[in-house]
Amino acid sequence: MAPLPTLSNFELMVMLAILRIGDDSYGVSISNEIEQTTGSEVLLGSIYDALARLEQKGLISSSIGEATPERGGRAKRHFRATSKGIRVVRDTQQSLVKLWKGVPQLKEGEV
Amino acid sequence: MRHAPAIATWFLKLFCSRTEDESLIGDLLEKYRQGRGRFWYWRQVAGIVFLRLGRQMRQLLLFAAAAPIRHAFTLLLVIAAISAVLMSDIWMILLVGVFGGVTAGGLIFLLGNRADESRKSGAQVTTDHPVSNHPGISMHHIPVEGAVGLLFVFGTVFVFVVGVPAIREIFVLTAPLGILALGILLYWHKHHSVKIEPLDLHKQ
Repeated sequence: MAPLPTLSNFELMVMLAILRIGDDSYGVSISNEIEQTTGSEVLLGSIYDALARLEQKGLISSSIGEATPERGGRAKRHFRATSKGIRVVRDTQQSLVKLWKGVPQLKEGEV
Repeated sequence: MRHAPAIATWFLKLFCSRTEDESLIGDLLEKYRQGRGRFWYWRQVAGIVFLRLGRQMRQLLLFAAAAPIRHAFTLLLVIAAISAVLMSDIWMILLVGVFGGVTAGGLIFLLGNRADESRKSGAQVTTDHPVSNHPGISMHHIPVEGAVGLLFVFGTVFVFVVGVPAIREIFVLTAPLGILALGILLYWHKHHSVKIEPLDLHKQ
């Protein structure tokens, strides 16, 4: 069985944003979700780069949606996580939780 | 409805011309119309352009690294030849040579086609081997004998003597030697003549 692909920090953020938003995941909603959660501005170009990499790894799939006048008549591209993508996110979460557990500096009241 | 900065959009379309980029441009426009400023729009466009350029550079480097070594060698030779031509005074010769070569090639091609057409319209000629009618120019079709050959020699000498002054002294020394060699060869041929047969590439 082939090993599951790994995720970079930003790719993990994009994956989590897609999972949180659900069916209405597209460029604007993903960037809004990340900006609201992290409090910092993100480039739409870097989100699309990450989305292209995730799709190439088979962790997300995309479909063309409706075109609206405020988008200049351009269609939305909707994204959703595949079962492989969800498995990779879960594996990453478990690995990170294991790593966090053994760090004394991160315990409450240490710093 | 707010209009996005025209120059920034022009830049964006320049680097995002694929159909899959339509959604990215649409997203950018939608966010801008939700109340983002012009500076934000410019920053986003600059980010996209730099990301695209970076990706293209990476792909180019990967392609260059994966290219077979013979292509790299050919590329090196072409670069060396172009650099030498541009840095020296012989670019005029190259220009004359290329123009002359293309003109001569075109004439040979046209004359060859005309001969083929007249052959097709005339009596059917049977041959032992199939004649391949290719439009290319092959070296054994270029006449370098008789008056044409003489013209070819004089033309080559003229171009190099005019174009490369450094070889004029060498030419003064070598030309008499060449004429002497020509006389010896003519004398030898007169007394030891051999039957010259036309070159037949299809002969087994």
